[in-house]
Amino acid sequence: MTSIVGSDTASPCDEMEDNLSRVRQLDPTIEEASVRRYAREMAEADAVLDSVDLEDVPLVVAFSASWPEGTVR
Amino acid sequence: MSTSDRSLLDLGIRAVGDGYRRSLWSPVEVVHAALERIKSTEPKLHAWVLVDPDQALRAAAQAEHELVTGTDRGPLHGIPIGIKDIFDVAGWPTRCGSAARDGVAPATANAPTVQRLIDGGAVILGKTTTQEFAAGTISPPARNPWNPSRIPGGSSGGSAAAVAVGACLGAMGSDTGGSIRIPAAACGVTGFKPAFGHLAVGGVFPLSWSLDTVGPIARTVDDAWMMWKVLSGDAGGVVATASPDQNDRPRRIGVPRPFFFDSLHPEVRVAVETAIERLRDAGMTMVDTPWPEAAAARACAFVINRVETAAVHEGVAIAEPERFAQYGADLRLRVAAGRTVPATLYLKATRARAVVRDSMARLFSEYGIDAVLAPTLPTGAIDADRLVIEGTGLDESVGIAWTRLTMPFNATGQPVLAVPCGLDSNGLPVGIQLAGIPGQEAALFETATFVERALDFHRSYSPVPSVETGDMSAEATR
Repeated sequence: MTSIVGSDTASPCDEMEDNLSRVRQLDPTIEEASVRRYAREMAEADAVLDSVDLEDVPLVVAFSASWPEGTVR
Repeated sequence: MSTSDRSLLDLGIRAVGDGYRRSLWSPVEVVHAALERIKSTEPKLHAWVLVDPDQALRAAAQAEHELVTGTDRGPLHGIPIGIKDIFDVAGWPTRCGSAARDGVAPATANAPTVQRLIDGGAVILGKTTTQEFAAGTISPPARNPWNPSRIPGGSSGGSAAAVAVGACLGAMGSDTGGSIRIPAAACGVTGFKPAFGHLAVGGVFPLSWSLDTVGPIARTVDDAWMMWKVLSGDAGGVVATASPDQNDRPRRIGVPRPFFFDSLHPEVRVAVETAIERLRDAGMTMVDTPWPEAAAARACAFVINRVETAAVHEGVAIAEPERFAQYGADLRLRVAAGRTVPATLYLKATRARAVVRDSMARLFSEYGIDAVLAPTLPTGAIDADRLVIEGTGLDESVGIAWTRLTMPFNATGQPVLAVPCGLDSNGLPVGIQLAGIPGQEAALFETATFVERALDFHRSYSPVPSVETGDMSAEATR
């Protein structure tokens, strides 16, 4: 899992501080609770994506909505 | 005009067009009626940010003249249409629902999709309310026509609200995480998210370029079909674009439990399960089709959406802090916090997207289904003054909850039609979405026509009286 502040994995306080600092460079009014919530939502998505087997997926994927050969009736 | 304005605006695109060609009424009369409908509903709905009656009536007169003199541009000839205010329309500013865009110069050219509508004879009435830069599901200050104390959904909330009350017969929306389907469901109308990449998104302010799609919102599947034919350049000026209901073969519909049926408000669950039973009674084969990758699909779309939104607006945030300060708080957070998401996570999401797309393809192949059916929203439209999700058993923000069931299909990129299926006990619409096969949009519309006919929503209910009389109980008219 990618290390993200607010995730279930232990994250250093200074990482949260660093992220909060970066966020507040753009908007000093943003509350810490909002940043934590955002980070938690992102961490949850990260955890879900860890369940996906990417072994056979190319590193560079140009997405197309078209389905693979043989799957369309 | 041989029928009242109300019934005329409720006829649908095909019937209105038939009336033009039989000289029962004219584009000028219909556009005039639509403008009157806007006038009567707008004080409560706030669905429009710009209406240009003079230009609309001129375009209607031109459409009328063309029909009389033998030029017929096809199914949208003389049909009043609204455009979400993230699309460029030449001569009008594209404000994107943001104070940061106040004073922006008028667009100098039409977005390609808008141009296709105009070339197809559509009469553009004006621009509809959007959530700021299409990043959200509330669409303030627009309200829900079924109960104006509720939100219309978003981000194409103005388009859906306007269509629901007949202020226009169709409207353009965009769908990156559900922004066509969500307001369509909340407002009891039909919305079509085309397959990713099928329609050009040029001239439309981007939200997340890897996910952005644009498409029609209309009252019925047939109305959306005719808009789709014109938008996709497939109408060919043919007036009698065939109805998407010519094929009577039985349909097989996949029901992807459990993901899409977890954590629903009880009334939504009842309405959707009732709809499934009605479809079964109508002769459709309903098949349980578990899709284990659904949560991953949602996660893909969520991560890509958030990171790319931050990238789109980062330049303004850094170089124009005073302008960035005019953004709403939610979007400022998305932009500022989005920059802290690791690049490795974004790349993981883009790679996982191929996996979830292929898993959906296998689902269709293995079960031999025509479409998958899922609820569009986990709750009915919520109170505009109390933006809280209740009854799902989850602690979620509105933005997370209301995209939970739509985002998976933005990840797969497949075409999806959202149609209404009933009302909850508050008189608020409940909707379902039907996801189909990329490149087989006509088959999806055919399936949706069967579904619409079996559920019989549009012939049974209308929100217009609750808006025009101020009856906030939004009791359905039967």
